[in-house]
Amino acid sequence: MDEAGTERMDTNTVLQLNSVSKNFGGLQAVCDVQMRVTHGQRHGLIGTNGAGKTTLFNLIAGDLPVSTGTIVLFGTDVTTMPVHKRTRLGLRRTYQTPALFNGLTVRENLYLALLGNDPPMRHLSCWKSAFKDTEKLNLVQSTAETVELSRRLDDKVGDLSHGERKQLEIGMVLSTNPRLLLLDEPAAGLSVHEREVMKDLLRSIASDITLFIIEHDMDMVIHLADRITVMYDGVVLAEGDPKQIQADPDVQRVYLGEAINGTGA
Amino acid sequence: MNAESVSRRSMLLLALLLAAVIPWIVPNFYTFLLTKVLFLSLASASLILLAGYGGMLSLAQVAFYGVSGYIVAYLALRTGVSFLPTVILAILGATITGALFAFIAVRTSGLYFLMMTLALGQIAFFGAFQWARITGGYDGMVGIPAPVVFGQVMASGKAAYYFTLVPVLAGFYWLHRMVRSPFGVALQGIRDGDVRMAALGFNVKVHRFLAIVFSAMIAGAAGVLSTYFYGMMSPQLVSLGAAVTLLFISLLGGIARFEGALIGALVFVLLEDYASVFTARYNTIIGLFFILVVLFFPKGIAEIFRRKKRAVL
Ligand SMILES: Nc1ncnc2c1ncn2[C@@H]1O[C@H](COP(=O)(O)OP(=O)(O)OP(=O)(O)O)[C@@H](O)[C@H]1O
Ligand SMILES: [Mg+2]
Repeated sequence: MDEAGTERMDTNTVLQLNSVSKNFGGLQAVCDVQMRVTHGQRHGLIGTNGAGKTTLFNLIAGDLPVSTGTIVLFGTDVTTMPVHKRTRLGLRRTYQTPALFNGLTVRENLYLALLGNDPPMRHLSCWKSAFKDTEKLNLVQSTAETVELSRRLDDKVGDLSHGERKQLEIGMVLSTNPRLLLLDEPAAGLSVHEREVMKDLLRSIASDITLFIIEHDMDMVIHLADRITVMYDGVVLAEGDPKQIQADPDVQRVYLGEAINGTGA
Repeated sequence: MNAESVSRRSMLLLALLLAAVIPWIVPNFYTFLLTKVLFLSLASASLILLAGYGGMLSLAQVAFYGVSGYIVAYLALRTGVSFLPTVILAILGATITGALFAFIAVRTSGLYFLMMTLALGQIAFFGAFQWARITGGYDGMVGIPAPVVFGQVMASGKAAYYFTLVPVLAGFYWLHRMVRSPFGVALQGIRDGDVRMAALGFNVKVHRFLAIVFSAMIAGAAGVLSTYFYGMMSPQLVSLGAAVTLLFISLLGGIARFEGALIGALVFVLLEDYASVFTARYNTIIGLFFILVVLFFPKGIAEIFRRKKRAVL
């Protein structure tokens, strides 16, 4: 249904993928993916294990180069742009297994997320104490409260629980006022309680921040997303609103059937 | 300011006071050993900045050390260049060497980075041998006169001690500030996750580049001090053996933090002095000691003095 909009980029489009493919040697991990994410959307990305979801995120963020196709972010062709420059456009991501700075404290991790947003010359200041940057440290404090980590600020991140690490990761990307957030399975491996905390956290994200979320927890996707893309073996199998996706026979066959039966929902 | 930081501050003041008066308390021979501890600890700190804070283990520090050392030796023996420009040119030489090296090396990390540093160290070593017209080859350069600072000849043991103490303190103070600065905290972030740092908007290559350049600068300063201290410069000081000794000192004290540099250098110099009595078993004694430390204090001797985990911020 998006065929007509492929060439035209209206200002409402945050992310546009044009025939994006990625091969690893002989393996076609992402195959000719065509899709669009619009401003303010809660866009879910689901699919079986190995469907190519994380690879697609790696392509969008620039962690991996595309094999073919182009990626347009906020109206700019970023296909060959390095990671840190895409970040500067307002893109932030989290990882399937939280990638944090284990040797540093929660405070320092949150601080670095904010520092990354500063002009590059400020990253290289090597005399002024980071500890005296009260403006940032206040923001760190309030972010920690948002993600329920204010009591852990002085603890090393290596000592956090899995759930706390997931919360911290969200805090790190949220505090920077991103325009587009890529969240790779934010609820994976969380306990029932932590899952509720995460759900509330994601729902509380300001509506002008566009979310693109990979999530296996169907319940979560259905409640959070207003649009869902289904991937299977590297290709986009279906796209639509949650109701359409739940009703789609193809999707039921390859994905929802197993998932719904599997979780007993 | 809490009680802990007050007690840390008074400890530091006490240590500084002790460092200032110790040549008047201990016999001259120990002043001589302590001077050695000072510049070795600065060299070790340059490695700790890269390895402990930046995650870049390096065997190239001796190359930077060597470049500045040879510049001092050459200028002092063969030209009439005076003290201050000599020092500036020497440190500049080490810094430029660091920048040229960093330009290539930032593309690599981990084991590959280590191999590149090994290669640079070896180039410096063989360069020192081969370029005999400038470096004096195997014999090196001897008889470098004591530096003259503000009209004072820094010849006596005490003068040499203070001549070394002041720049070493300044170096450590800068390093101390650096690892608490935005640059330093980000450097530690890169150590823990370079991909993630790029995703936060940091230019990891520029950061690594600068860390290597700073480290070369500090290693260069240590090289200047060492050359004036010994009054000579020779290829042995830039050999693989010297690189390993520096690594040994840093691991001994604890490569994760700068305290390790001071403790490592102190223990090493005392150990070396003690072991040198038993010429034949010298290496065995040092090796054995190292094994014991690694077994019981894998994070280095400095770990004993750290009661509580402390954060940078
Ligand atoms: N860097 C890589 N090198 C080689 N193959 C890779 C690489 N990254 C992913 N793959 C392969 O690409 C395919 C897609 O992997 P991807 O991680 O994108 O799947 P996914 O949809 O995120 O799955 P999951 O739900 O398990 O996270 C898999 O077969 C995987 O083994
Ligand atoms: Mg994945």
